[in-house]
Amino acid sequence: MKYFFLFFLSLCLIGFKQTATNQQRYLPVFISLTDTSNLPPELLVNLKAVFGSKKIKTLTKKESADLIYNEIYKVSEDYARSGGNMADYDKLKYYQSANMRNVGNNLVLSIKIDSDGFINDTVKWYSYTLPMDVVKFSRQKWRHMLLDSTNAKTMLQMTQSIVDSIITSNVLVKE
Amino acid sequence: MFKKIMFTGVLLISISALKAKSIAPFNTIAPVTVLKNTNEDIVSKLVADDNFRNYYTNNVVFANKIIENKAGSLFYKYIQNTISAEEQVDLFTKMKVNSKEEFNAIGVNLKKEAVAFLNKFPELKQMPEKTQKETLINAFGKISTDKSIAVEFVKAKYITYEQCFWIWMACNGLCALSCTYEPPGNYGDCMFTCGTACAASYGLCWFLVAE
Repeated sequence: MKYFFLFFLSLCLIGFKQTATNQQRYLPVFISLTDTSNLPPELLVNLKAVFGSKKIKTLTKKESADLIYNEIYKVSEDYARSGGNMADYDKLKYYQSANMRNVGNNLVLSIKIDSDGFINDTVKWYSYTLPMDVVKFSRQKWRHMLLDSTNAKTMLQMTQSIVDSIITSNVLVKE
Repeated sequence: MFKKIMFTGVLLISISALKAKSIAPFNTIAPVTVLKNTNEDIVSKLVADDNFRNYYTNNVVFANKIIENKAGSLFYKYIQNTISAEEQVDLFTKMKVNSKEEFNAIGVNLKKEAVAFLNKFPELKQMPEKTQKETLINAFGKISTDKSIAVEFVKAKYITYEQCFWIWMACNGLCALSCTYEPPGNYGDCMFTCGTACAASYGLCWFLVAE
C-alpha cells in the first residue's frame, strides 16, 4: 500500500512538472522585417495581434533596446564587482557571453511584396536571442513556408499561418 | 559602404550618449522598489536629519550598497527624501576609497550611525526588534564585511574615459562583423540591437571612471 502511494505520488509530481514545462511562456519577440518597402501597414499590426493572441508579447525597438541595455549593464556590473577589469574588453565580452540571460527573441522575417502589392509565396524567417551573443554569433539558417490559397485567403489568415509556422519551426526561445 | 559605416557610427554614438546620460547611482544598483506594510507609514513621518545626511553624502557609494540589500528599503526611502538625484551623482563621482581598511572603517562607522539612527526615530523603535535588526543593523553589518566592494572601487579608479571609448569601439567593431551575416535589409536592426549592448558596456564603464 505504501509503495503504491509513493508510486502514485511520483506520477503526480512528474505530471505536475510536465504541465509546468508546457506552460513556459515564449520570450517577447522583436520582429525585424528584412524589407519594409511596399509592406501594407496592417500586416505588421496583424502579426502583432496574432502573436498577442498566442500570448507572445511583441516588442517595439525601444522596448527591446531597454531590455538589452539593462541585461548587459547588469552583467557588466557583476563582472566589475567580481574584480573584472573593465578595460579588458576581451574578458568582458566572454564574461557577458557566459553570464547574460536571454531577454527576447529577434525574429528576422522576410516577406517580399512587389510594387503592385503581390506577395511572394515564399516567406522565410530565422530568430536569434537577445541580447545578441557576439562571441558565438554565426550565420543563421532560414526557415521557409509557402503561401497558397488554403492558408492565405485573407491577410489575417496569412499572418496566422505565418505565425503558426514560426512557432512550429521552434526557433523562438522560451523563458 | 562608407556611408553605412558612418551612419551606424553616428547612430551608436547617439544611443551611447543618451543612455550614458540617463544613469544615476540609484539606477546602477537597482534598489528594492517595493516598500511593504508599516515601513511606508514610518518613512513619511521621518524628518530629514542634517547629521545623517552629511554622513551619507560622504559615504554615498557605501550607502548605495545598503540600498541594494533588501533590508535597506526603508533606509532608501529616507535617503530619497533627503538627497536630490543631482547631488547623488555629484557625490558619487567625488567618492574615493583607497584601501580595504579605509573601506571597512567606513563600515564600522556606518554601523554606529545605524544605531544612532534607530535611537533618533522613535517610529523605528516601534517595529519589532527582529525587524529593526533586519532593516538596519544587519544590513549595515552584512555590507561592512563585503570585502569585494573595496576591491571593485579601487580597480575602478584606473579606468579612463579613453579606455571606455576603446571598449565601445571594439564592441561595435565586433557588431559590425557579426551583422555582416545578416541580410542587407536587416543590417540596421542588427546593428541597433547589438550596438545597444555596446552602449550598456560603455555606459557602465563611463560610470565607473573615477576622476
